[in-house]
Amino acid sequence: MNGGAFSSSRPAGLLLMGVLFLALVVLVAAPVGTLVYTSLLSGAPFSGQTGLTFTLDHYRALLSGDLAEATMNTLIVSLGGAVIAMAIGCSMAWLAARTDAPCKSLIHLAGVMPLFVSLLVAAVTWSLLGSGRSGYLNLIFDYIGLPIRLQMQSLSGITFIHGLYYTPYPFIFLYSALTLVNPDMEEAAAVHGGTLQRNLRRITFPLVKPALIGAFLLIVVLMAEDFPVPQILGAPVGIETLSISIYKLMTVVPSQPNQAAAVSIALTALVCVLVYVQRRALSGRDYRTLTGKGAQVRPIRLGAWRWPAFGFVALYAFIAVGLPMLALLQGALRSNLFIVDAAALFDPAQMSLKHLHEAITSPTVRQGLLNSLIAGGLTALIGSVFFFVLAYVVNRSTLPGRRALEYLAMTPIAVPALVMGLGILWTWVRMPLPVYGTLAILVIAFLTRFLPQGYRAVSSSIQQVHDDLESAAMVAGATRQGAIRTITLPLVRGGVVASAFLMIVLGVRELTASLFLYTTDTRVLSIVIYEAYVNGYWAQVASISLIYTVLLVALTLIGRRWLRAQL
Amino acid sequence: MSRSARGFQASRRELTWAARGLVLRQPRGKSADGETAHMAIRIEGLRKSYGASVAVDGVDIAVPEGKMLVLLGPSGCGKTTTMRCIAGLEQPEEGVIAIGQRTVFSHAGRINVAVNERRVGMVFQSYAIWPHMSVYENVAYPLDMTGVARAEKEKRVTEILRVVGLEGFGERGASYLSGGQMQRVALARSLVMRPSVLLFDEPLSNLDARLRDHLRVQLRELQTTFGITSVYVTHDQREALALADEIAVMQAGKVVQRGDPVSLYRRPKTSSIADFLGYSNIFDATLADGGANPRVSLDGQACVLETLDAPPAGPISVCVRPDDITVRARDGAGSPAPGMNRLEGDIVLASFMGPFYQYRVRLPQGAVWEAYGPADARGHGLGERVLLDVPASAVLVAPRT
Ligand SMILES: Nc1ncnc2c1ncn2[C@@H]1O[C@H](COP(=O)(O)OP(=O)(O)OP(=O)(O)O)[C@@H](O)[C@H]1O
Ligand SMILES: [Mg+2]
Repeated sequence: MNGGAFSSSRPAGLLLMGVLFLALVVLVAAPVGTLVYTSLLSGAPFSGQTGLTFTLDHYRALLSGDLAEATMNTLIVSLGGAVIAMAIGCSMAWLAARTDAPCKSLIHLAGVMPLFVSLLVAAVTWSLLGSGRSGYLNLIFDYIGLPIRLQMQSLSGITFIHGLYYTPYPFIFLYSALTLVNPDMEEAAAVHGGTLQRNLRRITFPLVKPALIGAFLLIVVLMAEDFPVPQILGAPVGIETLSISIYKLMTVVPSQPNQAAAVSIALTALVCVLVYVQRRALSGRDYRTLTGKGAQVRPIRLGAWRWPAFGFVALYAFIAVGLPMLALLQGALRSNLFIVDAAALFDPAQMSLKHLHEAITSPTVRQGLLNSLIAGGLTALIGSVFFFVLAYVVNRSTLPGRRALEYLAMTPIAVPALVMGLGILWTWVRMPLPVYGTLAILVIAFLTRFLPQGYRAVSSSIQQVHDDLESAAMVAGATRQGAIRTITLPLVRGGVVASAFLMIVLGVRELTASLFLYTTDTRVLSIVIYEAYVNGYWAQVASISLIYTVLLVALTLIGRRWLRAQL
Repeated sequence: MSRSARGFQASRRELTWAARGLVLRQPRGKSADGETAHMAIRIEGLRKSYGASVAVDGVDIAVPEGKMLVLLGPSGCGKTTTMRCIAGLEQPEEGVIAIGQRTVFSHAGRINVAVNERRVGMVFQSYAIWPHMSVYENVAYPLDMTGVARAEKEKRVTEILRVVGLEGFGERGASYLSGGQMQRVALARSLVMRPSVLLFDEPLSNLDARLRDHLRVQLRELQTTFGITSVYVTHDQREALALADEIAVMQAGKVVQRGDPVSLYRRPKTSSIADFLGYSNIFDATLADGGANPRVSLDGQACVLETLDAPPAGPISVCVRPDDITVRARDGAGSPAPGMNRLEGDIVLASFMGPFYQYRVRLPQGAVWEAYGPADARGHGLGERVLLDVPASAVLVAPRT
């Protein structure tokens, strides 16, 4: 806006621009470029190997049978999961936004709560609850004589878990869309003689359709690139999605990095298509940045269905959050692992605090906790400054290339976490800088992964500050830096703090990108859980997961005031 | 409403009081050695474009010391951009801007004084009141920037708040103010720094009609009392006429006419400027008689009007203000006086406006004229056939644009 903004200090502005570009190239473009490069090479790059040539073999191999199946599986678990999540999330959003269902705030809480259950923990607990003969639920079904046996370690299991834990996205999208739709329009339709069903179909649905499509495609993307759920529920029984294939190619001996890179590119391409379709569908409307105008909506009367509707929400909350927490408690408090029958589940004689105590005092867990907090905290700290400068330059300067900066910053949306982790690994492992093997590489990975969310959060709060406010300060005699410090910064502080908190929570939750980047000294808490799971220490998995979940909930509660705007 | 009116009376009292002795600053206007007032703002050949679209296209403006220039023009014609160039918020591509004796921008001379060193005050259309500060902090901000001593600062802020009628509002959070109060804070904030030049960007456009009238009067009083050189942007012709020492009419990035309010109002240069200045009867016309008593015939109206204007070459339009027309009943009207054009038509709309009646009269050929009649009579009814007397002196013949 301010044409003269940097004009008097153009060289300084261009320097700043150069620094930002460099940062984004290192964070985003280098890992992606390395991946593409590797996928075209005949052997591992940067490994000192000589005689490497360019080849398309790895892309040809994509067409073989295995990968076709992995692609199919990826589509099944993401599309299927998306349908379930949409059904649950949208019903709850409609109940919370438009009806006279009781305990609205609880419905709202149930709608967003699963966001704070780590998918790793969810997958682990559900394998505890519903796999094989000794799954807790199967034991109980057996005890009460129900002929049902759950098998979570299956395609339908993965789909179910996806559906269960991705509901917050459709919930939030539809909820804000519904509160934004002017109720006058519905009332006008009612005045002109429409019935409730007709109005829902003819007026409300078309108005919220972009939000629905946007939410659907977003969760399809997230599920397609998801790693922990298929890894824990699928890999042990030989079910592969594309992420699992990549991980397998990297972890078999000898590893096949070039093939892994090619599969990564394929997954990224799939995600890119979905992101593109989503962008088109939303066409610039970001429902999450809008908040309700607080329009007074006359709620739709549910009559006799009020309490059944609430029951549905309560059941969902119990299945998604209650049951897993009980299972974790059970797993953490058992003194011996083997459970004969359901009666043993509730036998106090078999309970002890031994494992929980061990977990709390274990140096590995403590180190992991510390690492998680340090990596998350550093990401938040560096990210806040970086995202603010970036968002300020994009929104408030007239420097050339600022749009390109924004595109670069949004790119990680289309790059799956696992793929990004791999790219970062290859970028840094051979760098002369001592980054690999320290927490710094995790901070770099987190910064890259959460760049889109963080940038967008800060950017939208800068956009809400009218640029006349800063202009007025400069007319009043302030320098640009002075105006930023005294006017803009105080006004966007809320948004910056919110994004910082988001960084911490997301950082502590992150597993996938860290998988390729951690070393013995830099295990974060999610990695500690994952390793315990891989080694089959169930009690440990449950105990640490319990601590982990408490930590996430605590962080969320502390940050709720600021986070609300972001979710 | 009554509250704000009271606020005004208070501040008006303060004004006279301030004028009597405790003036905020010496009126400028006449310099000591008696020479004629020099130009406090001088702009030459100003150009500014955004990508391919040219927002300001070669504007020349000069404002004498202590005077108020109003930039009048339709939305999007480049008024705000011109203003932001003066303040230093936009960097023009070409031209020269001088404030007082100092050239603050010159493309040729590669001069571009930073915004914060130009010492101009600006009142933004959006108010631009900082919501996280109190009224006092908002107003004191410019003084903080120049490092004025604390006691002096407090004195000046209190004084200026009194002048704009916000005495006692200092501790109030700025986000708890009404629109009118915010506008006064903005005014106080730009006055407190004793700027050499004050810029107003449609400062009243977001206020309701009555408050607008009040504030307009007060603004003009403040400006003349303190003799601050000002540029005022508006698209409201009434506001422009009431406030200006001089008006510059802008269209599509260019200044198309300049003049004092009276002569501008009387003699708009083209039909589109006339349209903007409240000439609501504008019709395409052709020259019928170019002699000593020129006459023009209105296209498609079988109607020839006498005028005093020497019609210009090229396509022309006839422009007549509704208040120059006399509306008469047909009975006992007599024959028109010499130099008076007479039209006849039916009333299709009659609205009582308070000080006058607004009529729309359809002529037999279908053209509709607007005219005002006195409010004291009972007025003419819908469908009534009336006579419109249009003095030749009121028939403006201007190039069609
Ligand atoms: N930052 C900008 N980027 C691109 N175009 C702009 C920008 N600012 C103004 N313009 C364009 O320049 C032209 C002049 O704008 P300006 O704001 O000066 O108009 P204005 O006369 O103040 O109008 P209004 O009465 O609506 O405020 C318009 O066509 C506008 O669209
Ligand atoms: Mg404007």
